Amino acid sequence: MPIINLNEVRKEDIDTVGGKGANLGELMHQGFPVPPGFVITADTYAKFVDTEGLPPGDQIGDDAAFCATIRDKIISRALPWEFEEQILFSHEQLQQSRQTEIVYAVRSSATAEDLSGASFAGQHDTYYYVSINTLSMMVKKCWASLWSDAAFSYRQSQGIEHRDVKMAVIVQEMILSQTSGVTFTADPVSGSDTVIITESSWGMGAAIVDGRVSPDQYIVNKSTSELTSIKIADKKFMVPAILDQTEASRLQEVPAHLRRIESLTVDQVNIITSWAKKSEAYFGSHQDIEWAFADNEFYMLQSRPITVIGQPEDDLPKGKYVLFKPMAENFTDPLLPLSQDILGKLFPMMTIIYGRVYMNLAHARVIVPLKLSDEDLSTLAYLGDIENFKPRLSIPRLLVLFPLLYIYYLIFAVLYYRTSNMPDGNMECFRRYFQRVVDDPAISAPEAMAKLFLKTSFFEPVGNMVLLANATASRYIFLLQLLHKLLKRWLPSLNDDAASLLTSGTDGVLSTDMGREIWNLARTIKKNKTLSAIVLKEEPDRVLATLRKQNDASEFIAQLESFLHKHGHRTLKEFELNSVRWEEDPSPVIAMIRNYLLADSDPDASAARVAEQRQVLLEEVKSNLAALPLEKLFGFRFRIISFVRNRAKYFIKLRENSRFYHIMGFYAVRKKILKTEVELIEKGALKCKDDIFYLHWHEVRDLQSDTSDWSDVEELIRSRRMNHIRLNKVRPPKTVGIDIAVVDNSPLSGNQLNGQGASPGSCQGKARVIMDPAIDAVIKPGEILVAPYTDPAWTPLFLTASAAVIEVGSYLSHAGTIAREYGMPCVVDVLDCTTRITSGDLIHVDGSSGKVTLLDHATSEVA
Amino acid sequence: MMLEVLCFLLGVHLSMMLIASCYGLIDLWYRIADFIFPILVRILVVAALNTIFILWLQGTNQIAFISGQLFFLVFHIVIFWIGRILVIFLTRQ
Repeated sequence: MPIINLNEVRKEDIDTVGGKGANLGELMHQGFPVPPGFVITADTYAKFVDTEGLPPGDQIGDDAAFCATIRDKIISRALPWEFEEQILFSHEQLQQSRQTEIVYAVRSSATAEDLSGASFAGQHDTYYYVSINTLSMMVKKCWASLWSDAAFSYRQSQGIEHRDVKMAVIVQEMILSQTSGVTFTADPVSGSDTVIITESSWGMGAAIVDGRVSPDQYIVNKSTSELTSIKIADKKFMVPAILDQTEASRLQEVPAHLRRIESLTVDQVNIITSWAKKSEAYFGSHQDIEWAFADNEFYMLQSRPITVIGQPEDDLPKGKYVLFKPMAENFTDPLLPLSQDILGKLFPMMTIIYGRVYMNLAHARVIVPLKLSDEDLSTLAYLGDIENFKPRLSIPRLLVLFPLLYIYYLIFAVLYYRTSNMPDGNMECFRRYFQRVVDDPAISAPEAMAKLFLKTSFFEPVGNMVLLANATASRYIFLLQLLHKLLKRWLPSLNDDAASLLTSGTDGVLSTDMGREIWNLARTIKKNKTLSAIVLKEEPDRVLATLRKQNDASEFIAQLESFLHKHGHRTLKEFELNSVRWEEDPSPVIAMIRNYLLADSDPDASAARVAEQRQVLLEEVKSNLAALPLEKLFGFRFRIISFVRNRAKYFIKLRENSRFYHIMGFYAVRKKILKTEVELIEKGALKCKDDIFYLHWHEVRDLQSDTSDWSDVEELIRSRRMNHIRLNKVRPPKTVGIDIAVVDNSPLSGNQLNGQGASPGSCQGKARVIMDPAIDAVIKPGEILVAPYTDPAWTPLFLTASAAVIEVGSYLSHAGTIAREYGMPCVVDVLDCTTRITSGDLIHVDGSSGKVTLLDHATSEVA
Repeated sequence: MMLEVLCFLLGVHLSMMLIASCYGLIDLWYRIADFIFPILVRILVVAALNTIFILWLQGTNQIAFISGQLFFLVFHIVIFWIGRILVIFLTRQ
């Protein structure tokens, strides 16, 4: 029979209806809410394509032309008329009870598909919004997808004979869903069998499956069915149930008021969980389920075995690597392919692993004249806690390395002298250079990166100064250690945190100034009740348009524009070239202003308090030193301490400010990329915004020069999106290729989590875990901020928080710097803190010793 | 011999400082109006130091000192051009 109704299909019919079809039919038979439809059998395909007449796989080899010939034949041949009649009959049977014309989802179901040992996921086509008029063509396209280059290559690599694989086609009523998603009955990354993970977003599920949407995530305890975690994403795009025919792209923007709210209710999560458990119980294996809600009615669209359990082994490079902390402490997500490509080429000593930047330890070991184990070297390279680090000098290696070290000194000494006393604001001239590079149409994105960081123009005075300043500012590490040692030697009774406090409070640190300027913006708004109400009540991305209509908002608008002119290149995750900058979309700035309006604290008061503490400490140091021999006469100890202190402050500021301009350089590169993207979309070489970030630059060049087109990159973009989603779920290890003992931060270790003290003091309070301040940035005064990382966009949260616990960071990370400026305790590098601590837990933070103690778990429901 | 080595190293160091001082003209080019005086003073002071040592040292010590200065000047120019070639190589990719 060429067509079978789906409710007549059973799991034994896999040879007739393919794996997907057999699964769906069986689900329907077992009472699962599967949309109605029918299946065009695999034999129909076999007859149409004459699979018996195909040559064996080893004769075909890797012949892409052969595939193209078969595809063309399938598409161009007309279906037999009796078959067309049967399709029409099946359609009429489904249509009869409907008020409106049915549209279909046409899905491929290969006979070798959806089996536990192999996954063809995504390689065979699916079509949505198919009417009866185009159904025949879509069926042929599904058949043709069996001969796509990707599917063909996959079968070759898996040793599957092409003649043996046939294609059935499932024609199902397309559910016009308001919410859809996928559910895994085991964690596909960790392999944990104790959870059910659901990801959901608005509209049709295609956007999630294709990786174009960041979905909300719900984690349920499998045994208790208790909802244990909710992560709400910023859902910018959706594929709507009803298409607007005037729109070129199916991908549409989600209305602002829906972007950051939960796409599922608790009841809906319970419904999904219940059906997921039933599916797993029935099939006897972990399931990957696609589902949809339409008019609050649940439908199961697909259920198949999860084929990849646990973290797949990526192709790891040989050697030993450590995570590059200066980038990881600002941004823990994997970089997109284009960012990896452009950044990776310019810094060849770095390697991209799991989408993150790693340092090759082999380079460091060659030049470091210390006897260090792999663990110690990685701790040093990771800028870990080197307080208790007591390396032994390797004299033979030092003797051998001495000439090399001297050459290193010769190479860098001029640079060190140049950057020793740069006046405040000197690097601001980089802004002019940035603008010239942006305005020059002849400069491509990678060339912009090279010019702004490595100085290819001989006559450009500022050139690569910001990179060089950043590189040489690492002297602060030694100066801080020296200051600490001097204070310990001369004033052993002094608090251990004295060095931290003495080196805080530097004027002219741009990221601290940025926080202050946002506070000033909030103060301007606060003076006017009407404007305050607008900022507090409206969605951030509508506030500016509304304010522009208010006559008395002109002062604020002018102030905001001035702020954006200075800081508009900043954003969250600013190392990622795809991140939208504040100049392009100021709504995150508005959201930060709103947080300041809601906060009771005053940053000026905090800064004044810290300044007073610092002054008191300085006087204490001076008076205590006076008791030492000859100090009253010459005062040399205090002069030394003042000198080292001022130098440390200078280099801390230099490092922080050079980073400000680095980000400006990245923005120039982003502007170039966006310009190229517009050109490529206009000429049809790319179809969707952001697709360009999933290509490498040479692929972009090929598109520009028409060497390749959309059909050459479509599948590539799709597979890289999928890979990016997978990498996002992978927690990057601190080291690769090195076996080191992981710090045990489990609750069994006395409920204590260990990290590195970045700002002194201690504090106890309720935790507030925030993963993304763009989505969830409400923190009450007195709560303790717990975050995976922070960058300057998180600054307003520090104002309200009483302390901070950060998963990835260092003493001089943004978190540490801002915490010291605000005089609040901060512990960084606390492994797993965002999973071990939940919002509402009572914790104690000791920023001096670097310890976080979990005192009491939250008793309230999931935050 | 030891004294000559020390003179050589001193020559290297002062050459380094003189070059670094001259870079001030480039590094502060956009604010040259505000900083021309301190930059020039620094160049002059370091140049004067160099001159004093050249005039004060005698014989092989003087030769060693001048050699140190020339060595570093050549070294710096070579490193500069190696850096530029490296940059061109990286950006060509």
